[in-house]
Amino acid sequence: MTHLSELEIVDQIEGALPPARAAHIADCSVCRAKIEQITEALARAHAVEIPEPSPLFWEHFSSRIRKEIAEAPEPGSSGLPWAQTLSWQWLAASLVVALLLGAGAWRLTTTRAPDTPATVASSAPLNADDPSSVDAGTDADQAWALVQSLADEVEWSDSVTADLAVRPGWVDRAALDLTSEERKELLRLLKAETRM
Amino acid sequence: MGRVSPDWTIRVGPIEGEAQQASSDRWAVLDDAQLVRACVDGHREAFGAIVERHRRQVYQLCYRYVGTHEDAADLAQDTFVRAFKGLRGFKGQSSIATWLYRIAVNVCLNRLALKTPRPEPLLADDRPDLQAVRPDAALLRAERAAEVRAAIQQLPRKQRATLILRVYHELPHEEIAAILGSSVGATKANLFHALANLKKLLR
Repeated sequence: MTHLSELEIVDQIEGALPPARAAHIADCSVCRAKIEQITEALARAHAVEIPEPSPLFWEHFSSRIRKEIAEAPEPGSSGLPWAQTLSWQWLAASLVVALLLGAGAWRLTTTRAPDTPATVASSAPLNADDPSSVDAGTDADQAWALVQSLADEVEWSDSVTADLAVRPGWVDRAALDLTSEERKELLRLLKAETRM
Repeated sequence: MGRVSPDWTIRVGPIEGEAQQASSDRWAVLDDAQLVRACVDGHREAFGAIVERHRRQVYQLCYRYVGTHEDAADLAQDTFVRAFKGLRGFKGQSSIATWLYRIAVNVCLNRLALKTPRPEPLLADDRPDLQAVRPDAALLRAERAAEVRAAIQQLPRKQRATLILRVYHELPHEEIAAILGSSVGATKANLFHALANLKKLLR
C-alpha cells in the first residue's frame, strides 16, 4: 500500500481519513513518524494564546472606527462625489472622446495612406496645400458630423469636472508617442490650420 | 436682594455617553444580517454593533499574522473600515465573520507585501533571563508561546494564513479555500507544509 499523501495526513490528524487508508498507518513507520511530527507541531500551535488587550484599548478601537466611518461615504458608493451626480455627463463625454479619437485615427490613416481605398464613400480627397479641402472632407463625413454635434452638446465645465480637459504636458506626451509619419501629418494639419 | 445667576447651566437630556449607550443597545439585539441591512439603509451607527461583535476575532487574526499589537490594531481597524465601505458587496453567502476574515487576510497580505513585518522578538531583551529568575510554569509557557508566534510569522504567507484560519479560527477547509482563492486540496497541502515548517523552526 502506498504511503499517505500530505492531504491524507492532514485528514488523519483531523480525524477524517477513511478507515481503509488509516489501516496503512499501523504497518508503516514512515507515515507514523510524519503524523507524529505534524501532530506535535499542531499541539504546540494550539497551545499559543495571544495577549488580551485592555478594555481601554477596545474602547479606543471602536471609537476610532466610529470616527472613520462617520467620515466615510455610504457603503457601496465609490467615494467620489462626482461619480453619482455626473454619471450621465461622464458617459456622454466619454462617448464624445471615443468618437473623436476614432475619427482622428481614421483621418490620420486615410490621409497618410493615399493608396488606401476610402472607407467612407462621401469623403472628399484631402489636399495638404488647400486648407479648404480639410473642411470639405470633414463636412462631407457623416461620422465627423455626428462627433461635432455631440461635442457641441457637452459643456466645457462638464468636461473639466469629468477630468477630460487637457492638462499641462499631455500634448507633449501625446506628440512624443506619435510615429514619425504621424508627426509629419500633424505638422501638415497644424500648418493648414495656421493658414486659415 | 438681587438674583444671582450661577456660572453653570443645567442641560436636560442624555449626555453623550448615555446617548451612545442607548444607540448601541438598540443595535445589539439585531443579528448580523439585520445589522448589515441597517447599515446599507443608511444607519451607519449600526456598524458599531458589528465591530463590537467581531473586533476581538479580527484583531486576533491580525495579531497572529503580524505579531505586534500596534500593527494588529492598525490592520484590524483597516479591516473594519474597508468592510463598511464594501458592505453593499456582502451578499450573505457566508457568515459576516468569514467575510471579515477574508478582508482581514487580504489587508494583512497587502501590508506584508508593502513592508517587512516586525516579528515578535524571539530572544530579545524581554525574554526572561532564566538564570536570574527561577522559571515557573507561566514564564516557560509565555516563552514557548512567543517562540511559536515568532515561528508562525516566518512561514510563507499562504501557509501562515491557512494555519491561522484553520487552527485558531477553526474555519472549514472549504471556507479557507474561498478566502484564499484556492482549492480545498491546496488548503490542506498548505496546512501540512505550515505544520511541517513550524516543526522545523521550533527544533
